[in-house]
Amino acid sequence: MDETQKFFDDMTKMKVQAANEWWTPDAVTQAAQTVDGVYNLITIVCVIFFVGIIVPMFYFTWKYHRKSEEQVAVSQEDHSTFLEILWSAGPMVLLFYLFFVGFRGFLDLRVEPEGAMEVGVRAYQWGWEFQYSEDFEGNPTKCTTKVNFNEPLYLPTQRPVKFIMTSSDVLHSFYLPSFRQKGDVIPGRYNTVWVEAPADKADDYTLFCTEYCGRSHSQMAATLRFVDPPEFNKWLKEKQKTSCGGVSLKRGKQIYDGVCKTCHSLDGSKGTGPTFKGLWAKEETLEDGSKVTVDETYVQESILKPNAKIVKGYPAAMPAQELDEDEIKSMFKFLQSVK
Amino acid sequence: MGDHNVNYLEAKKGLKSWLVTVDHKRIGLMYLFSVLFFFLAGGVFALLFRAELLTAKGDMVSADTYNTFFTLHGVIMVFLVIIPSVPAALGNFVLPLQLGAKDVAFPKLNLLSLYIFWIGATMALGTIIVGTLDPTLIGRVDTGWTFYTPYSSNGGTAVIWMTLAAFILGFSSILTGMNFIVTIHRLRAPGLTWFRLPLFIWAIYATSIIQVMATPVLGITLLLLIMENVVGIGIFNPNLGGDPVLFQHFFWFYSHPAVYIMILPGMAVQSELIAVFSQKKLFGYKYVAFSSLAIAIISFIVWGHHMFVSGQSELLSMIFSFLTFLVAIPSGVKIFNWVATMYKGSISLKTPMLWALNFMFLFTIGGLTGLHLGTLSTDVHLHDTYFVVAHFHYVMMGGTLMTFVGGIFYWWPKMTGYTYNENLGRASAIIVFIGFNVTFLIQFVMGAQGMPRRYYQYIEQYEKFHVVSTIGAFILLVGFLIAAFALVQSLIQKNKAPDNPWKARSLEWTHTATPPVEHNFIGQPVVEYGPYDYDAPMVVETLESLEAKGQPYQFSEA
Repeated sequence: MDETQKFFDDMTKMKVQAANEWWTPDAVTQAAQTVDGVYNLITIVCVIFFVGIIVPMFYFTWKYHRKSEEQVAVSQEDHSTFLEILWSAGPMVLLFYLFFVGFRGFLDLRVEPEGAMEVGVRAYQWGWEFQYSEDFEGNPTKCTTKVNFNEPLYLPTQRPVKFIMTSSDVLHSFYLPSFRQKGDVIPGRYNTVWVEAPADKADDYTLFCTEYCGRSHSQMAATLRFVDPPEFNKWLKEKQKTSCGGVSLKRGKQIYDGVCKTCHSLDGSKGTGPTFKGLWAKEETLEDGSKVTVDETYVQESILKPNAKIVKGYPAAMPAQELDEDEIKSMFKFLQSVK
Repeated sequence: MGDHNVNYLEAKKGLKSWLVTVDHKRIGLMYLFSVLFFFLAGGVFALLFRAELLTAKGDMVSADTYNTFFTLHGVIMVFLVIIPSVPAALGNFVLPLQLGAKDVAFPKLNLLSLYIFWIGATMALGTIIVGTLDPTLIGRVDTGWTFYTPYSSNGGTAVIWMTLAAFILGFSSILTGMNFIVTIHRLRAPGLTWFRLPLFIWAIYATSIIQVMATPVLGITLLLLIMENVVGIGIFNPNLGGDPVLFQHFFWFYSHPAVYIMILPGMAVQSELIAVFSQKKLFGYKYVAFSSLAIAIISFIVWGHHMFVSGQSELLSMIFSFLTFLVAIPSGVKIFNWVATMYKGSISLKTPMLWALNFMFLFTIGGLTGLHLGTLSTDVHLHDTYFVVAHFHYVMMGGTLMTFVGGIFYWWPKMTGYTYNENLGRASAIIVFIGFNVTFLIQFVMGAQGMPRRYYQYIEQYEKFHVVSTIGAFILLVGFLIAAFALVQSLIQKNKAPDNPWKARSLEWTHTATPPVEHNFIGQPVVEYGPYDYDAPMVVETLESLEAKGQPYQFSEA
């Protein structure tokens, strides 16, 4: 668990940039600034109403405080149709206005502009995988390039990015505080959110999971690194070398770091799942007492249908992984290398 | 049979006399002590995870334990504390007394509700304990109180057991709700017209309607979960072709009205406290009464505001946002009328009134911050952050629980016959007020800064906020312990309470002894004035006393 623990502890070092740490974080986009405008407006409305209610309350408490047991109320005035209409209809006008500006801002957050770059997002217990299929100019990549959240996920500035999100297991939620943007990630469905960072906002931004998803929910934090378009293209080209690179040990290691590490250790310690140390060719005892040798067939089945054969003493906790043939073969190489 | 004219606590003795009683007052007390026990348990779990959150890193307990703690806290506080607090505990004790009735309409059904409540509570706690001791058996109950699928159904059958428990508990509130509705319709004393009902009754009436109508949806959800698990029909599970978001619709279709099952009774107590301790007619009686019904009706059509980012259509979100703003109006009307009631009153700052002022201050913040969440664009940012946590604690705890405790202090002399130490009572209200704001005000800031809910670990920049919040939680503990001490001390010191210590005008204070006799009243009370007519002469008549004076009561033709 040591390596996993270290990775989790790193999460606490992440940042959500906020010049004013008593208010909202720094807004990256125009849409986020609009949201903040509405937030400020509502807060002002709240303060006015709060003062309007609580100050009279304290004033009456002081002014009409019962000083002797015999003191009775000064007046028994018990209704005023004028006041009732005033404090029902008055706020109603204000509420309709708030509803309207909120709805306008919501549409801005939900409807992406034309020509957005599409990035696939797959959430799983517990991590994020980004899938790139085009570069900044819109040229297709050699293959769907998958990058995992244990390293910064690069995105270009100056072009809208639309995240097309789905989950492999349970509900997750994709939350970018600096962009005031959020969308649930749902198994068996696609949900989308979009953002666009202007040129002068190239920076690292934190991604949180905000739909409770189990043990490592709070560790599903990732860094989104917005960079200039040329740098993005260069990075994507580099990623394609390993991601579209057929079968290799390096690729296996990369998949391990991204997906398997949370539950499977390399040093022999027991995690949510069995350790990978010395796993290859080992004979494992299953839940029902039968034995199985860890070979190509078993590993492939365990990746695609993890709960078909559960090793004794472990929960059926692993979600199915969507790896292609080359990726699975790369995992064989990696497992063989962990002695 | 005991003597009907001795007080209900002494009329019969022994454990059995309590367990088979059909006396609404004794049933109310048993609910009260059950709820207070669960409140202690739920509070302890809150303190445990607040202690864990003192540092950014998860270091005190494991992530699994933390997740179980916040689930326990939520489930216990919602289903075993807040929902039954005012209606079942205080409502059972007070409602028949305020109506001038000997008991509720169906006393045996009332006892059955209590047993069903105990069964449901045992089942909920049992599921959590079994799930924690051996997670392979039914799965760990670490889902949060919302039980969202597919996470809740992947681990095992615990979600079914918990829904069953919630449904059994719901059955208890359906029966109580029905019982109250019939009682209010049929057992009002002569002269107690609808508009002479204390507003406590009006709000409990609105609550009962929601309980009877919304709770069956839990049963439907349960049935669908069982069909999916046992027969394999895909309803919520995407692997079987189901839709996990459908579960959220079902869940909130019950649980949003349930939010009003929680807050309306708080408003019920609030109306009583404000009027009595201001010795003034409640301002805008009919508006306050009908706003309860308006809240009850609107509560059924706003559930989708929990799901603005769930992928539901933008049109739906728009409609739900609009309807959500409507519910602010009747809530606002109540607040304004309570403040107006205090105007030119004779305000006494006794313990119950301090809790009522706590309610006013905290609930106003809770209600107003609801605007940030009902507004679509800001909710996208704030949804599932600590802002939401702060908001609903201001409403549920700052609202309902403050008046629940205020109500306990208000009716305690009536229930037990003893007075408590006024200074201790006041101190508890003030310390809870301070502790509450220290704990939760800072959570609005955390939420605006992006701190997500249900996090075992968090980024270090939020640490200072969490430290403040945890300190506040322990101040809250001190406040509630002082309140508990004041009540326990009163039972030991046995200072006899007067029959009507607050100069109230509702029947439970004017027409009964303190504590009441077993059948509540000697003779049938007759009502001549409204519940808040403090300027009218105090009339304590019964059918029998009028008869004896030779002025028999004239029943109206209606």
